[in-house]
Amino acid sequence: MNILLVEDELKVADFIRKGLKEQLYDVTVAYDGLTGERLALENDYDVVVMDVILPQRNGLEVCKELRRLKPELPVLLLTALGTMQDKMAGFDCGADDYLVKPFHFEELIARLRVLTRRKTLIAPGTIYRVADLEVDGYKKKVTRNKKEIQLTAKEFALLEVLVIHKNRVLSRTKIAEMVWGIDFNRGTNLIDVYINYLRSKIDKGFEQQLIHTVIGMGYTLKEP
Amino acid sequence: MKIKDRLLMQFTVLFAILLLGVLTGIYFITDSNRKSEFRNRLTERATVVAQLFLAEDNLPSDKFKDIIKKYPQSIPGEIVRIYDSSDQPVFLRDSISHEWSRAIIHKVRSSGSIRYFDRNRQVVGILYQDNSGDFCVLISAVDQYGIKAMQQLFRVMLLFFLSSLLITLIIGHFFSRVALQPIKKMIRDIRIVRSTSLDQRLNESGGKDEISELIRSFNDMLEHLEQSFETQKQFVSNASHELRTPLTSIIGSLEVSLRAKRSEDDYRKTLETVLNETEHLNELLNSLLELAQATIVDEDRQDVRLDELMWQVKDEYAAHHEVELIYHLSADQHLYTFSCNRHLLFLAIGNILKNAIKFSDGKKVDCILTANNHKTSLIIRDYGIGINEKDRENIFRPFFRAANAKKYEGVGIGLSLSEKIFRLHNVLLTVRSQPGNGTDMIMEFPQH
Repeated sequence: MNILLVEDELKVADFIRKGLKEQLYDVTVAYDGLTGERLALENDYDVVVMDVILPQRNGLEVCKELRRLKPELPVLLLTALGTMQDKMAGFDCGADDYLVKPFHFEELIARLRVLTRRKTLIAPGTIYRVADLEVDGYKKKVTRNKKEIQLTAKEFALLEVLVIHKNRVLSRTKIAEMVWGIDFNRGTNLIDVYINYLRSKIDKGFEQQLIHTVIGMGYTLKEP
Repeated sequence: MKIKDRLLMQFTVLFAILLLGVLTGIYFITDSNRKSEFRNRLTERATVVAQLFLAEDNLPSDKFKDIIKKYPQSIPGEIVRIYDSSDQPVFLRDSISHEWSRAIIHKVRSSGSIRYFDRNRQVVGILYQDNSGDFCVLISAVDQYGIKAMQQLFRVMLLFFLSSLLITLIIGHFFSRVALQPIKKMIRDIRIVRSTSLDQRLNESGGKDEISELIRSFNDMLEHLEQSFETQKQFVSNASHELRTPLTSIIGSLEVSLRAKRSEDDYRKTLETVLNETEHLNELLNSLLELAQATIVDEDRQDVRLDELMWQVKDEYAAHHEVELIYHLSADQHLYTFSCNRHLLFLAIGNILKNAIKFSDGKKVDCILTANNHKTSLIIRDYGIGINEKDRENIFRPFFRAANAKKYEGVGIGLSLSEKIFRLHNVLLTVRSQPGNGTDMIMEFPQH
């Protein structure tokens, strides 16, 4: 597996490269945002591991570019910025996962495995419908009552999961696993925050509520 | 002092205006009376002159002598004219050549009387009807004595006004200085109290006036300041201790290990120890950062349903422990919907639940959410080791660990973070506990 690591701290880059190489991954290191972006666009990598605070161009900007030009390339943000707002900013820029430093190496390995595995091919023309909500899995477009709704990458991923499993109750752990990767439970309530975001975009202002909380069990998207 | 001068000025000006008003009023009323009096005199005089002139032969001689005796004096500077029916002057006593115009004479005849001012002379005209015809009597004079009296009055008033003003200024200056004296003293005393001598207090005289209240409030504030400075110092020294302890262990173990060649097992053990200590440090750092960051910006507020939040917290923190959610909720959703910073409240309740689980001694934990018209409360109840009475108020202090908690893992910050977050949200947090039987953490949410 080919991994691109974008990290400007030498010591950190060194031990990550060392650890990943021992897992039999091929690792290329870029020490600034501009180089990282160029390498990611010019070459074929399976996953990008990127810090946010970088010289030349910061990780969030690079992430946005990659999401635009190479949407199938998974990006994992690895950074010391760990507040809720930082995480949400990361996801809003299109990151697939967010790992806060200092981290357990085991966890990095596990998440990389999930990211590279999760390449489900969605055939064009796959449109999921629930009441007046339409989700185009291929074009990544969402409309309700014919009006287009803008969602960030993570919001879309969450909605997609809910819609695919419509009428079924998904536990928070399951959602965390499917949308964010395994073992997301770290004392934050990121899932709940994103459910709220989704609600305010998909349900607010419409007559019928689609996203429901089933207390004690989880969340579900139900046909009214 | 500005306030002192301002007070003095305001008071003096007010007084001046008032006094001026009064004096002016008196002056004008007096003047008006004077003119009225003089007019009456003139009228009488005109009548008498006419009578004298025309009735000389009509009245009995003793009555005539009476009249002469009563009104003998002429008014100084008077000009009197009597005009007969054909407007011809028939009475001239003085040598002043002055005649009244025909228009005026006719006005007297038509209205019966007339009065007006001719510069400083007052003029009165009457119609005197006699058996020998309708005569018009006109008289004018200057109220010399009256005017002189008015001028005198004016001078006296001016003198009194100015001297009153001066006296007011002097007395006012004295009084305002006395009134502001306590404030000046306060300022002197406050200058003495600086951050290095925050234990100083202002002298409280025990009085009930505004200055005494100000002094008491100020002393209260100093008390709070002193306490919070103490708390800060305490926090800093606790934090450094807590941070330095694992560091000491790390540096120490590594240095010792490097001093000589060790076995592979030894190295492994050292590395594991160091890893453990750094994880402890990391946890500490995270808690400290959260404690420092816990502030609320109003735009972060959302409406949160407490039953939903409680379930999310349980799901997050109680994956491997028996936690039961018990809800006693009224039908009105608003009673358990709370406007707050969702993330912070999640953390706050989460920490309480984590603690309950940690000290539950393996037994289950109950989370009881009650919402009705009287109260909205959440009780997290464990049946574990409990908290000693003397520790109960200290558990919310950063870094505090009760004696019976020492053998459990933890940093001692979780509860202080929760307490801070609850305080910011006006949620009342109380503790009920019996050592050995368990603890109730009671959170009461404000109802609107």
